[in-house]
Amino acid sequence: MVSMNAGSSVSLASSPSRTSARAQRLRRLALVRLGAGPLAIAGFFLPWAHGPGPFAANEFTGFSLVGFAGRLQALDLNIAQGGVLWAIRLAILGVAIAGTWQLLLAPAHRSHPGYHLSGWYLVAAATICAAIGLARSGVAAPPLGLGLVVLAAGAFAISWAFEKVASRAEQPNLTG
Amino acid sequence: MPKRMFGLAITAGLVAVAAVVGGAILFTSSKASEVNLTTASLVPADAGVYFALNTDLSSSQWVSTFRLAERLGADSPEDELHNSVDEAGFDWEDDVAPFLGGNAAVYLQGVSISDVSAEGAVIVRCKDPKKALGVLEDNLGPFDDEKFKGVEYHAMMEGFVAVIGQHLVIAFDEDSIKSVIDVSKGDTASLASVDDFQKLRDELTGNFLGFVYVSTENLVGDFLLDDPVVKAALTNAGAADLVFQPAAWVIGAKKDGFEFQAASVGKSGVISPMLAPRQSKLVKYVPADASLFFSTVDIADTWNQVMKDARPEIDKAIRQEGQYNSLDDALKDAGRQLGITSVEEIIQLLNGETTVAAWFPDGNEENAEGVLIAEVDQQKASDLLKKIVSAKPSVSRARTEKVGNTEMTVFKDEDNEEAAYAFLDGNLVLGTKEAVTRVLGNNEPSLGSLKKYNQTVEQMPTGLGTYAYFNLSSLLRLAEGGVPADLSAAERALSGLIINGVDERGIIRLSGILTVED
Repeated sequence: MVSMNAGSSVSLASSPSRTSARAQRLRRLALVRLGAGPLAIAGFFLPWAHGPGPFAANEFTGFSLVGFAGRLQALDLNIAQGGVLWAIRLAILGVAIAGTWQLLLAPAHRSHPGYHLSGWYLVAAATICAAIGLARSGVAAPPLGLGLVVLAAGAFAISWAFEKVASRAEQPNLTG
Repeated sequence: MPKRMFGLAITAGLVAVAAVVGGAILFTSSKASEVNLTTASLVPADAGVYFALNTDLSSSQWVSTFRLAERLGADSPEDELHNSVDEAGFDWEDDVAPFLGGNAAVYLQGVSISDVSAEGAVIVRCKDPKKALGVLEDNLGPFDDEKFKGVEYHAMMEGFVAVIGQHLVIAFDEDSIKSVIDVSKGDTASLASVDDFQKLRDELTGNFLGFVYVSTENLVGDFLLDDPVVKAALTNAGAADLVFQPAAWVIGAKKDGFEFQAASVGKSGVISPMLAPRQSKLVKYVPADASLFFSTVDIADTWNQVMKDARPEIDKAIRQEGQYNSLDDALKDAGRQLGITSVEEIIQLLNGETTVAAWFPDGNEENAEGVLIAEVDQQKASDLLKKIVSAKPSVSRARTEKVGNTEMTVFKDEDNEEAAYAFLDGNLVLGTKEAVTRVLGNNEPSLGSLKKYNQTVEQMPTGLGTYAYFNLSSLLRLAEGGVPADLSAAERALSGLIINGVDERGIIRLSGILTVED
């Protein structure tokens, strides 16, 4: 994991104004990174989508989708259909778990594989959900909950990308 | 702590967190949510009838209903519902979905029998009340706008409509829409604040498809219940308390069947021993292929209570008929024909559980076998039955036979049909000879251990008191006739039915379940 400590060693060679700007950027980046978990958890409990067909009146949150898929499992389904429903329930549940892991790991344990695993899970889930939403409704603002999950995924991806870029930029300084 | 150990500890912690979060969400999200009857808070407290419907199609109730409808032969009930709206020229998403906000209700009050009129309204909790109002305006407009106590309402082609919060109120008369506005402003009490309504709503399951509340007093006012003849008739019948008190019904869907439950805040009175919750002790003697099974308890006690309270009225009614001077006379006369002092002697034997079962061995309703099994004082019952069968020896031609180790007395009745009685573990078994023989010699599993019977009992929303069980699979085949019986998908799917009366937590309930097979 590229740490902020590496960045601070470089800052010794920098001017005070550059150091200040860099510290500010790092603070912003930290805020974005720390926001991923709470955004994903909040998004899980807020609306993701309207139901199809006769369920058009229902707004489903991630939480209510897990419950609804559970109720559908009571239908007379074959093993494959039941298995798919279980997979969907677990996949949606994964968003809440990934958000919780982000919440716990983002402040001080970003080197733990669980941080990246949960972050990329959020990115994958948000991408799939956004793609489904795009296919169903075209280009439109997503429902609040799904929007927050997409933001959470974006927050993780942005902080990851910035840290990657920063670490690459720092490599010549460290080695030179 | 070494770094590796620290990493492992974090991993273990994360797994534990995932298990706790996942488990909690799976558990809480799967719990069936109760229907919040928000519409009752807009209904006037003196409503006579209030009927509410669960309009959340994603609720466990509707999901179960769709499932049961599939078992009963529907291809895809959700799609059929959607398509039926399309066929009627409406769009589900634009014209129907805005109305579906969780519950909808209709109430009536002040029913007048003389001029066939009633006040009332339809109240719908909407997902989008403004959009719903727009749908109404498109179909029943144009509107004339009016105002009452600051609430705008609209006169339309056939009535009045108003949006109050998330609710759309539709009334056929102006007084009714004003009554609802009064309730919404807190100027008059709502049905939701009525003690009896709250009690019944809380006592019945909160998770249902439909809920009905009836207050006879509010519905027909003083018109009927102040009539001295009607009132005396109800009081003498011991039904006054039940009729005058509010009652409620719910109907719902479960995993394997439709359930219903009715409750009244009235007292069960003299019939309370028969409605005590219990488990049948005698079902274990009933053959598993019984198509009908009825069980009750304490007939003797109930009879004594009823006679204590109502004997003078019953005697009077019998005197008016002219044949007998009193009930006692009638019972004694019937008893004499049987060779005993009075029929009351038979009734007094039945001081425990009494059951009746019937089945159709060859699938023909003409050849039914039936048996009564009752907890009795064996000595008294034996003496009484001996008296009865020996009263007309030339007719009964009583003889004894052995079934296994049990002695059975076989006799002929007035129609020359063979009947029999015996005592099994101290319980009286009386019925057709074939039926008694079957009960005494039954080595196969009984009805009490039958999966179909137990599944039906398990699905019951209440305990069992006095109840009847119907094996619909066999009864429908019987009714249809033919070999094999020509049954529709729905008839093939219907499995069992229980109708039950029970007094639980001081509330009299009529409950039941209709189970539907895979």
